[in-house]
Amino acid sequence: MTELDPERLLHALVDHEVEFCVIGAVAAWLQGNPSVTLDLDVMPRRELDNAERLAAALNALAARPRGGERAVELEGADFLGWKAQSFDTDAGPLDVVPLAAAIGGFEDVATIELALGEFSVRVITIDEVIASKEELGRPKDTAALPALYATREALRRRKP
Amino acid sequence: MSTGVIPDQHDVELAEVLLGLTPEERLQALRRYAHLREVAGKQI
Repeated sequence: MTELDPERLLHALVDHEVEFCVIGAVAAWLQGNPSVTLDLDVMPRRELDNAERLAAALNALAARPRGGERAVELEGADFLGWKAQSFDTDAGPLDVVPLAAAIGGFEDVATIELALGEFSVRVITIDEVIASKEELGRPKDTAALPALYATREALRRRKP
Repeated sequence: MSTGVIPDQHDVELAEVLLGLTPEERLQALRRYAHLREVAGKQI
C-alpha cells in the first residue's frame, strides 16, 4: 500500500472539481481529534457529472481497486451503484463512501469548510463523525469514541 | 446516547493541543506521521 499523502489526494479531487466532503477519521483529525489514521474517506455527491469528475481525479492518481496491482481506467458509470469502494492510489489509500451509516449521503450531512493552504475542503462535523461511529458500533468504532467525545468537548470550550 | 458522556480530561487536553494547530498544519502532520510510520516499518 502506498504511503498516505492526504494533501495530494485532496488536491486532486479539488483540481478536478469533485463535489465531496471528507468523512471518518481524517475529518475528525482535521478538527483536532488526536487519533491518527492512514487512509482517507470521502463522500461524493451522487450525481453523474460528479461521478465523471471523480473518475478523472482517481485516474490522475493511478487508482486501482484495493489490493489490485494495476491501475484501472475508471469511468463515471463505475460509481453509479453508489456503493462504497476502496482504492489504492499513487498518493495512498482512498475510500469512496457515497452513503454512510446514520448520517446518509452528501446532501444530508452537516459539514464545515476548512482552509488547507492553497485550497479548502468540506469535512463533516465532529457530531456527524460521532453519530456515524455510534451507529456502526464495530469494536474499532466504539474504541474511537472516547477521543471523539474529548474533541467535541475541546471544540466546545474554544467557542466564545 | 453520547450527550451525557464525560470525556477523559487527558483526551481533552490532547485535543486542545491539536486545536492549537491550523487545519493545514494538521494535514501536514498527518502526512508526516504516515511517512515516519512507513520509514519505521521498513526498519523493522
